[in-house]
Amino acid sequence: MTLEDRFFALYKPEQGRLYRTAWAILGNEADAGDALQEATIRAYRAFDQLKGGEAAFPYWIRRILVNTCTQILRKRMRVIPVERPEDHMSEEPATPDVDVPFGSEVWEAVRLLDERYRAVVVLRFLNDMQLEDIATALDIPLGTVKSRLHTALKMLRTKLNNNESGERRGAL
Amino acid sequence: MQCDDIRLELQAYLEGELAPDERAEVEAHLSTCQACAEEARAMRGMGDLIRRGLNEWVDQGTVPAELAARIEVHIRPRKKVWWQNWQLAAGLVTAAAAVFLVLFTTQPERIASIPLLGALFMTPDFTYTAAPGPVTEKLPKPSNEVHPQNATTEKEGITLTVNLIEQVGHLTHIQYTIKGMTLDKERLKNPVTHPTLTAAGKKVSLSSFNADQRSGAIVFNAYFDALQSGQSLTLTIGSLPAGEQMVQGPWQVTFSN
Repeated sequence: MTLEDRFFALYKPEQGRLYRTAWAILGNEADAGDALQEATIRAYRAFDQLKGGEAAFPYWIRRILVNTCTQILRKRMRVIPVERPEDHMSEEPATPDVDVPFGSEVWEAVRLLDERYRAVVVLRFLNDMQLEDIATALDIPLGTVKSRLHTALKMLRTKLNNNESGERRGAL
Repeated sequence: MQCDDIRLELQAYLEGELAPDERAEVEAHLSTCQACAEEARAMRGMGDLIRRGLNEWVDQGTVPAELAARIEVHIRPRKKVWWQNWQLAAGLVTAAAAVFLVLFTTQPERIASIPLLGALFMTPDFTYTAAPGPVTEKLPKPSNEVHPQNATTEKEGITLTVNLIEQVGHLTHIQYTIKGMTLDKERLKNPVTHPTLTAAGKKVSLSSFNADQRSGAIVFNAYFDALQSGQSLTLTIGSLPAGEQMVQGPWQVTFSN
């Protein structure tokens, strides 16, 4: 078995999860694809340095991916977009008629958060990062991480409770 | 600590990330403040819910086939036949060019007399016609260089230098550096700090720009609508943050590409 074959045997079962992790951090599929590609190439180049055997691979490659994504985020947060009227338009999608799985409902609520809040929530609850590590990764003060997380959880509570009460009303 | 301060610490408290003294302070507050205790319970529930929901969504992920193929091609390059091997091809081209150069510089009339080679190589990208006709230059591609090189202006202790102009897809990328200003993201959102570009007196639309703090200067990359080569361009910035103050410009650099 070649090095490539060994790498892909470990990588392929993970790639769907990795793709969605990047999507959750970066907020869109195009950037997630670029980040996954870059992280996979980095991981392949460093594959011979993987310690802890095959069992460590999922955690190891996920860490490379998260680092890649936070680098992109830091860079993106330094970009000052030229304001356009459409930037202020709501991105709230139409409520689907079909039953939405629980995970998708949570993601839908997280996805609609402003990027500053979404990134903190995803790094905290999907990647289980400590608040100080999030501050370092995003290059923002610890106090800012705490206040964004607090505000984001309040917004999510309102959003998800509204969904729930809407469903209850629909069931009546 | 007041309720507002306690609430900012609740996430760290719930995940066991507080130092013992901070933890004791939060616990003492929660034992006496019903509103914060209720907030802590709600937060714990919401954190668990978000964690479970996001993990469930991620576990259902699949990669678009096109992306999976793109990644695999990067890692598993197809086996190449000898003429697809770029190193070998580059070597052959270099060797051929060297032979041609020797022939061209020593015996140009012999090259011109060979029909195919003459047609291929004797139409140069650079033409120099001596007197009595005018000197003409024909460059193979639009120039990416800034003329004059590193065009600079200085005012109020702030120096603006244009380093690079290039075509990127359907946009023109202009890189410039500014010394003496502060990278203040909030104040850089103010349109007075945005670069404006005019070509032959007409304003060119700005698509986006970014700023990157480097040692000693801030590097800006601005992307404008595509430009023709050889135009006279003026980059203007009205006002910039320097320390606590906004400093009035304008800083204006005229150059051509």
